[in-house]
Amino acid sequence: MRTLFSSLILLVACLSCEVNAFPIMVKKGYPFCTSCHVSPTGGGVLTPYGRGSSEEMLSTWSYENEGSESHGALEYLTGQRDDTGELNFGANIRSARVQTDKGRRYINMQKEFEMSLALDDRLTLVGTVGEYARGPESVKEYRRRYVLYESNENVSIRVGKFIPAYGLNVDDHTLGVRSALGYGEGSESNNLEGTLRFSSSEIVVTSGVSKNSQFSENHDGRYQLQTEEKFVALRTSYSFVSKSLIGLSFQVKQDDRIPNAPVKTQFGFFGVSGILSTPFYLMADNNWKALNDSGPIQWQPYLYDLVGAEFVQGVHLQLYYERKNLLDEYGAKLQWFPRPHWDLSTTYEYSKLGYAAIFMVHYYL
Amino acid sequence: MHRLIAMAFICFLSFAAAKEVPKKYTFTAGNNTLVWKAKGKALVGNASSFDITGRGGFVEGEVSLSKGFYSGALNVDVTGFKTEIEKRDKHLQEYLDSKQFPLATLMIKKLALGSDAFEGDLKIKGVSKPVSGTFSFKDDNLKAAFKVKVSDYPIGKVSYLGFGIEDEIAVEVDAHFIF
Repeated sequence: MRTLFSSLILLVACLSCEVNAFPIMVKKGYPFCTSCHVSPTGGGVLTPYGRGSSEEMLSTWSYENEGSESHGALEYLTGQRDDTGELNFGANIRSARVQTDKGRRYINMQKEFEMSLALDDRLTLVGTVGEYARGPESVKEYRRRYVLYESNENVSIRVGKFIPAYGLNVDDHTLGVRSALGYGEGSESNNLEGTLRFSSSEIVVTSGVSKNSQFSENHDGRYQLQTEEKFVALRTSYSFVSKSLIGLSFQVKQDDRIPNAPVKTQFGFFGVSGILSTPFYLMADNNWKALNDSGPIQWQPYLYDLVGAEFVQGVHLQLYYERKNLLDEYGAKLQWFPRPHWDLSTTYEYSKLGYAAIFMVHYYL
Repeated sequence: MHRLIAMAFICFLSFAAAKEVPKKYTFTAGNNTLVWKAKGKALVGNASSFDITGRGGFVEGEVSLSKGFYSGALNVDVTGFKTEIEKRDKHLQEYLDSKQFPLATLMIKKLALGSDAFEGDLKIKGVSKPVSGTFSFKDDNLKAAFKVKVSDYPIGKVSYLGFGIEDEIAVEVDAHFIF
């Protein structure tokens, strides 16, 4: 029944006329990530256009050039704004206050600095250094480091450490479904990635090794060790009408250190769409993971379906449903981008295991 | 005799059913919508392109039939163009210098009765350039479509934080007429 509900949501998404993995941005006409981010699969350091977009489209208020690295100070002093994007740097500082029925916690989720340097029109280097929460501790890591080669606007190759392309790369760090599928925050792996991109479609193929240094955190503080697996992932997306995006994801992986280890398969479909010219938007990323450690294959659903609305620019009310590890969760989130560089959110999640209330403050440079 | 009367009746009905070809199409602010589509394109690097859809700015004017051809002048108030992003709208008005040139004019010069293809001139910022496209009439509805080359007009290089636009812009007009 819930699968049917999820499928219906996606169907509605497909039928409506207007949609962004950052669904807010797909809805504003930017179905692919590289307009605003250096990374072909989104997230991380912003391009000059991405900074301009944070002023004009994302935030409730802004002043001229506020989205720049210097908050506009350098532009005010020099009278000009760098639009070459040759050297970009950014930072993320994210903290959360989590209240559950088991208690209250304060988590310093991340403090990271990222830089990209374009050596020429085709070759870009990206590196990140940061300190991240891992369970009750914090660790220093170089989470992302890669070389991006863009042969032209249609073809790019990336080698290094980053999160592979799979499903929707949403900005929500509390999203459990992506972690359960192996694509949560901190799940960067060593990869080789090829992207084929056209004006309204994109295919990304990634092959790599996800090592066992990845953790997945739950609301109550537990975390789990992943295994070392070789994988191939495919994500294809298609912007079928303006402001709408649909796509398919597929992944196979195997831990070849273990004799006769099963090949693990997972697949899914996703979509983001605005609803005509209303403030509403829909997002769905529904996946099925084969459980075949023993006995016949069982397909376990990992679902994420969301309906959101932006009545005032920068203020988003979202209701969502998640299903992971056979557990249903329902959530409501209020997210506010008051000014460029600031992202505040309050989330309430409920499942049969209890509830979690999360207040998050995110500063992005 | 009865057969003759029946044939005459059928002929009468056929002529009565045949609709007269409109001699004139009048475009007013209330009977049409104009949409144009441009593509944002990276000027630096290889970032992905994106669609820009412009709406607003109704078509006003007349296209009338004479000697088997439709012709006429259609004006669009470009100050009404909206693209859903305030700053982009502001830049658009600056590029079009809409305070000095609030109207764009399409002169239909050659549109044969029964044909979809038209030829004409499009004037933007005081400069006229030939354009061609289609005018499809169906019942009381008209769909016009043509393409505009930005480089044909004194608009200058469109640029914002590493992005510009592709040279070709597609324009579509949907109109509904009540005769």
